[in-house]
Amino acid sequence: MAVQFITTLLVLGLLGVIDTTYLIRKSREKKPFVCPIGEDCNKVLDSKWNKIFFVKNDILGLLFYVGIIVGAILLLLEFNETILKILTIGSGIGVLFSGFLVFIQARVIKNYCFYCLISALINVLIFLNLLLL
Amino acid sequence: MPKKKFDRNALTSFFLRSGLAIVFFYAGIASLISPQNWIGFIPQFVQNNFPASVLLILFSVYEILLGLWLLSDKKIFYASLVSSVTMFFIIISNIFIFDVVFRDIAILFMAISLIIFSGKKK
Repeated sequence: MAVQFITTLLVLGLLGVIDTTYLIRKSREKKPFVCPIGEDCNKVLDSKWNKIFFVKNDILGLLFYVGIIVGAILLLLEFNETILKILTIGSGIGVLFSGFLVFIQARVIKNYCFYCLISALINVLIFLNLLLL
Repeated sequence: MPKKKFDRNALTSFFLRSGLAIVFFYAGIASLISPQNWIGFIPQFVQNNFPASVLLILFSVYEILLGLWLLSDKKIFYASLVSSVTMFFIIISNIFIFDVVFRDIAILFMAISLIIFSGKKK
């Protein structure tokens, strides 16, 4: 087990928490998002696709990243193959879900949300990181 | 409705801030997890006057907080100034292991760029 990869997992989890917390906070404030890539983030975040599995995607994402951080801490305390498998499968599902949401942005909504794309990138990096552990 | 503009400045600031924050997060978390790998970076004269392990924990927390400040996008001029000073002292205090810290010059220059960039926005 490489401690560096658990450290990077913690960093990625923290970045994910910051990203989703920002999304949650901004949508609670009900202020329009500033989207630096020149797209309309609000069209994505106000769409019906922002709520799948009865929970808003940003809250689902936050729970996922908190889970990754907790899992990484558990791995750090005692390396356990079962925890690693759960995290890898969970993050694999996360990558598939992110891919689906990116597809929806590209083909259905025809607008991109910058912070959602960042979240998708973080999910891919988390998955790759877990494969390296 | 006209397409919204691609905001080059916001993206530049985002990547500079994120790059710096990731560096501070990694260093802060890694030194909390494996202090033995990082304690050597505390200069000897500091270690002679203060308990190095306590200092390392404090510095790790400081780095994580600095990363959060950079990502918060609040008062970025001061956050990047603090980042620059931090990087400057990291380089100077480890100048005798320049083969390790030479990459930190790039990070220092990123922080300086962010000072200039965020100062311009005022």
